[in-house]
Amino acid sequence: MYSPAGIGIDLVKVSRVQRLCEHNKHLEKIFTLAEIEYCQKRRHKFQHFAARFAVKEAVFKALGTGGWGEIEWTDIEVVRDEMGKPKINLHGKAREMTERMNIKDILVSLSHCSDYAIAQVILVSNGGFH
Amino acid sequence: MKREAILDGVKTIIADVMELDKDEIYLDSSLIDDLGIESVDFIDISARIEEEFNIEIAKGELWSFGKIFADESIMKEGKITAKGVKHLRERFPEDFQEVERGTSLADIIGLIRVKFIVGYLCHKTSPAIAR
Repeated sequence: MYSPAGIGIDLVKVSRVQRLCEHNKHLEKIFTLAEIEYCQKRRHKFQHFAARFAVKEAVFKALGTGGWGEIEWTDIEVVRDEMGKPKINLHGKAREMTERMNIKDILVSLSHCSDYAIAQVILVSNGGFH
Repeated sequence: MKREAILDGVKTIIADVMELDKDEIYLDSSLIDDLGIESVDFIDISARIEEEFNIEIAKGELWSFGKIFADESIMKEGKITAKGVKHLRERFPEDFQEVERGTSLADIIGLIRVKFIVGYLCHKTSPAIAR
């Protein structure tokens, strides 16, 4: 039986993420190359960067680790499915952790405007830890 | 590089990132509780430290708690063990002396102060300067 195993939400100012991006020569430490490429092509690219940042933070919260854990920012990647709907791909330590937690799916919803980006994620488990 | 110069550089970076006055930032200011630093700010501060001090901070090097706290013999169910207390005190002798067995992860994170960054940079830029 599938059940929610964690929930996380994050709200971030687009201007704050813009400042981060403009001062940071190593964006690839935060965003995957695919995420950077996706955002760079958008007219309001910093809204898209901010939304992805919010998703990563929301996943950290849902996992209960915060940014202090072993999981890298780039272990959490936002991609889009064939319909354009955002979904999350996990890599590295994030993937290992969710496998240990028996997480079978991660539901994500995000939104952004000129000022803010927000994301919510729900971890779906089939119960029990390995 | 002298410790005073490092402290001044760190204060300048934090003041700029957090839009604070440098005079509001002390060696003992808690990064989270006193200065209001959040995850996006930690990333920004790290990037600016690399630029200002001409260093590269390897993954997990400055905020190197991930590996420590992932060890269940150190952090169990969100609380630090006796072994964890010993480890933190030995590894960061200036920073976590208030930590006791059972202190929560959230409380430990709240004890990260400006001097933690200064100590790291002293060690990184000139290992001869004591943390």
